[in-house]
Amino acid sequence: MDVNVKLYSVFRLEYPDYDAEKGLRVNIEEESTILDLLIALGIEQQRVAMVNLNGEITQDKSVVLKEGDLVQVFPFFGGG
Amino acid sequence: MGSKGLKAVVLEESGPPEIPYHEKELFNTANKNYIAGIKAHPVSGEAMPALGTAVLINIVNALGALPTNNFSAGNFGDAEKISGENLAKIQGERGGKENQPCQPGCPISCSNIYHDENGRHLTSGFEYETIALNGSNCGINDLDTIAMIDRMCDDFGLDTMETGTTIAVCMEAGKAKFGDGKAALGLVEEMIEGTELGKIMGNGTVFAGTKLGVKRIPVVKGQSIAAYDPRALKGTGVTYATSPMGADHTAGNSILEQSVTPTQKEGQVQVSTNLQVGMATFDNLGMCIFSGFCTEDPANIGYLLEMMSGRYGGEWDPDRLFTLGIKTLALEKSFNSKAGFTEKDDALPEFMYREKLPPTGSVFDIGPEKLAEAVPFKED
Repeated sequence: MDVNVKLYSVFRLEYPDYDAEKGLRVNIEEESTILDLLIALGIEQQRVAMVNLNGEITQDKSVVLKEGDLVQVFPFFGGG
Repeated sequence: MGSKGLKAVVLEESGPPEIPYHEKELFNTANKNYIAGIKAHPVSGEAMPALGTAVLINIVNALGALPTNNFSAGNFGDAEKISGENLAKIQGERGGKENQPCQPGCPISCSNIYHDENGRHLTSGFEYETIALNGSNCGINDLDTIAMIDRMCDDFGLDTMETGTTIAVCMEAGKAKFGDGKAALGLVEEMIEGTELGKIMGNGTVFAGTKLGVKRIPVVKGQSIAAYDPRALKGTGVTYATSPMGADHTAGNSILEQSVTPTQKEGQVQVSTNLQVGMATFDNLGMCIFSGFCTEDPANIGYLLEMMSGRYGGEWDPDRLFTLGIKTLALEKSFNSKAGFTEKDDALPEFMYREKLPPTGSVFDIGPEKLAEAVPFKED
């Protein structure tokens, strides 16, 4: 299945050709979790502070994804 | 300072002051270790140096706490356009610079120098609060316009945060449309020129909002609210309401907090109190609060205590260290009380208790009895 991924902060810098408007379209297996997606993206899960799944914040990486989900991935932040 | 007739401060360059150390070796070794801790932390070591404080735009937007159109929403459709990621991209294209120290020797160096579309210097120290409060809070999606506002404020000596919240209340009063960057620049020009409206605006958000008949004035104790809507970040909301500084996010911002969710009611008073003590302690040390993120690792608190011993002598433990913050807060509260502030002033603007903030639909629902439990410190 395909999910839409948007990366932020330093994660975006690690993808040199990242399109800020479109994000990434990632193909993963059915029943994949957020953790599975992170592995597919090559992002260490301990570096992920927050995920926004279809507009809702979650810290639970065991959530199962569905076709067409929008997953926004954030590293740690503080401010400022 | 201008109101006191202060014209200039002159510093004679005779080299850095001689700092008396109780045990210089101990201080220097601990300092080296602490700096390594700063650099190892993902925020102070990675995100801030690369993208500056503007990295917060997309993050706070995702939390639904980004002030939009005078705090009427927490999500701005064009957040990406005014984000730290976009800012960094523009820097690359125009020869501006990221990773700038705001003081010599800073190991984080999260500030910047911003160039216009012709590659010429436009402004420096172009930070999150300025971008959000003059950007999304005014409906403005263009970094160049916001940078010009920053420049004009720097030239004339205006606080950029208060300017942003003042422009936004003027927009709510119909003096300009939300999103009209050109009109916003015109309002700042009026402040500089000293037109009647400019003079009204120059007195700040409370004065301008009241004079123009705006009901939704985002201030606490006369201080305009920072770029985190407290309805979607309640720990910071408790800080706004109870900090002796007024609506000051740097007095205790709960954005990094993992022990509570941002919109839950419970636990926020304790979160805010702990943060206020930590921030006041760091203010005592003269250290940037960004250099404090790494203290979530107790080893780094250890180095900080060694630095205190090395500098001042004596035995230092976390209690003794954080008592500096507690005493400061007690003193500040006492001052405020003598100046006439009461518990009634420990509150957010009325509309934030009532108006649901899209997209979370949250209101600020922490009442006065609960807020009274925050920073419960009295002078001895």
